[in-house]
Amino acid sequence: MSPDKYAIFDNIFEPIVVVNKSLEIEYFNHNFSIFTQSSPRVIKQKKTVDNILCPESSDLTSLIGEAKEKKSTVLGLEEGLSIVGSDARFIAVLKVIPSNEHFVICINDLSIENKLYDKYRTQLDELKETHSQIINADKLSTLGELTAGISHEISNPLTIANGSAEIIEMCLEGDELNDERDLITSSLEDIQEAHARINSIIINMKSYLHQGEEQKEYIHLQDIVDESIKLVAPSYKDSNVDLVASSLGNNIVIFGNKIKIEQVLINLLKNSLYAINAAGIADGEVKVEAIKTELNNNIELKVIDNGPGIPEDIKESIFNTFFTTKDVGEGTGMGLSISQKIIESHQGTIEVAQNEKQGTEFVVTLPALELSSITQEEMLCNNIVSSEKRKKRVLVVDNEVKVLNLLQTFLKESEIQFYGAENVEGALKTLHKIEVDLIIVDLKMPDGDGGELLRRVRNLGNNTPALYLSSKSNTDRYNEDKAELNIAGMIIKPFSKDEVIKTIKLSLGEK
Amino acid sequence: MSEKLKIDTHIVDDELIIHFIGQMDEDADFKKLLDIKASRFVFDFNKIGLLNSCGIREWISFLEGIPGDVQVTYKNCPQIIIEQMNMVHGFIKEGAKIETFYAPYYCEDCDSETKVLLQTENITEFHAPKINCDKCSKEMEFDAIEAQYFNFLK
Repeated sequence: MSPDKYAIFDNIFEPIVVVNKSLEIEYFNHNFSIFTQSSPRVIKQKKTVDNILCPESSDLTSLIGEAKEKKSTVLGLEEGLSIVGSDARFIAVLKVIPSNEHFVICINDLSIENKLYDKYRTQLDELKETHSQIINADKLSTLGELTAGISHEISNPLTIANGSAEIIEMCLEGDELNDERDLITSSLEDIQEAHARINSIIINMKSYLHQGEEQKEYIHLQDIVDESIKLVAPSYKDSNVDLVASSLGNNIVIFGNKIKIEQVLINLLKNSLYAINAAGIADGEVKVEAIKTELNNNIELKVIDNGPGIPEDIKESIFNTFFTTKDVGEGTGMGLSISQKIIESHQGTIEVAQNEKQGTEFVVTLPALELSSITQEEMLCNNIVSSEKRKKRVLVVDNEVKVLNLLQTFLKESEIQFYGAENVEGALKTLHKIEVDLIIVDLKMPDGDGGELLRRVRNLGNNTPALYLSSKSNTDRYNEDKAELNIAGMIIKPFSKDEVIKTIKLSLGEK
Repeated sequence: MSEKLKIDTHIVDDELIIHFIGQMDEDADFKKLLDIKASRFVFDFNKIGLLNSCGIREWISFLEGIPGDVQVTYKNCPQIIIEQMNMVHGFIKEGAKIETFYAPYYCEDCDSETKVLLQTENITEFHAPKINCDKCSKEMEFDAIEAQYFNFLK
């Protein structure tokens, strides 16, 4: 076999060496010489490739033996590759191609990719850390601005508590404590109530400032609105601006980071209040509304004020970092910029619209639960694998967010992909978008029955294994439905982690 | 973390002399050189360390930004630079002159390798000039394939 046969390899950028079964070098291309930093003379002197290349994990003889046995190309692992007699070390993948009695060894040098990956991974982590610090700085700044209102909110119950304590003191000075028993009891109750109020305010502030908050969970949007309003309400009260939140009930559930979305809402509410105050509007009013748009599966959270509105010429700049219309010392100019990034990290948008009459309307659009839950899981997993190799997927349908969050935690620990839906329609939409391996349905949900959901699923020709999730009192219902709806079992509430994982794994055909 | 490429410059008359010291990688920033006005750029690679494909990309991008009327000269090019010149289109600016470069030689008697600085004008017909060993004074052999090594002179 003449080396001329391989002359074409001289024009290839990859280092290539051709050896026989004893690893003796028959041919090497120009780039092999460059890669090994060895002159052709040195390579010829060394005779065998294992005198030049030293893979850290694999063995050249084994790779060649495997290629010979399989009579096909063998790909080694990504591993460290040293050059004998040199300090040079690479990260590379070796490919061995059998060709008659010879073997073509191609070296895919991944050192640069690895180095860049490590470098940018570190830089990305640093950026994330900085970003998290900026977000926290914004929260501290917000809380600082709200401090006057919050202090006032705390001083009211404190006054009550002090007054009640004085009453008790006066009673204790009297001769007959029994005569004053009712008054003392009532004063003690007032003190306890006042302390509970103060405690609630402080817990709310601490929760808002809580760090390490990357985790997303299933949340009622109403809870976010309520918690945000609690923090800003004192400032609104001080300014005599009405804050009206339409009741959303518990029918809007989102998948997101509660504290971060609260931060966005608080920023918007704070901005509206500032605009109304700055313009000196006497009957200031801010409304918070939320709707689920059935057409495009989005949730819109709106903050509408009757302030002066945002001038057209600055509308495009308001989301820029450090852009502010406030006086020096009154605003950091980061609130809207951070809010936009938070909403984007939830695959949503934040936009400003001019009100029809006057004022400003901010619209935060978030994907509905069935979409955000899927997006989150797909981002975390490599789905370019066959259905046999990918992680098992479980859809849990329950209107109780606490149950969804609990099962999400349990399943993630067990390396199972979790998809949540809060109602029948949401579950059907999820099933339309992805293929799951198990469906777990709550029997009693406000918008429909879990059994009815399974009936609709089966009618669509979907025979995915399913489990009921309900209290013991519904075991009769399970027995009635299991044959007809092909239900594999029932998880009885309350459940323990071990029980639930065992039942799910059995249903998934795992041990 | 790699050591950032250091670029030393000084101007003599209308000639900008640029020394590259360290690694030419993704952190290399050549763009600032484009702000310096000179009719001739002289690149001195004597103290260049490693270079990688990201650094080469930055380099080519920088060369494209040099005005066409600026005369470009490469000096003291080590073997790693010559290898890139032979492999990567655009590593040498069109019309540029390679003044001096290093080439590998081997003395069989002393069993020693050495890099010898050659003047481009001394290379004829892509053959390595005869060089004698400093220690034994015997003629050394060229320690690469001439046709490949001198390809950049075509």
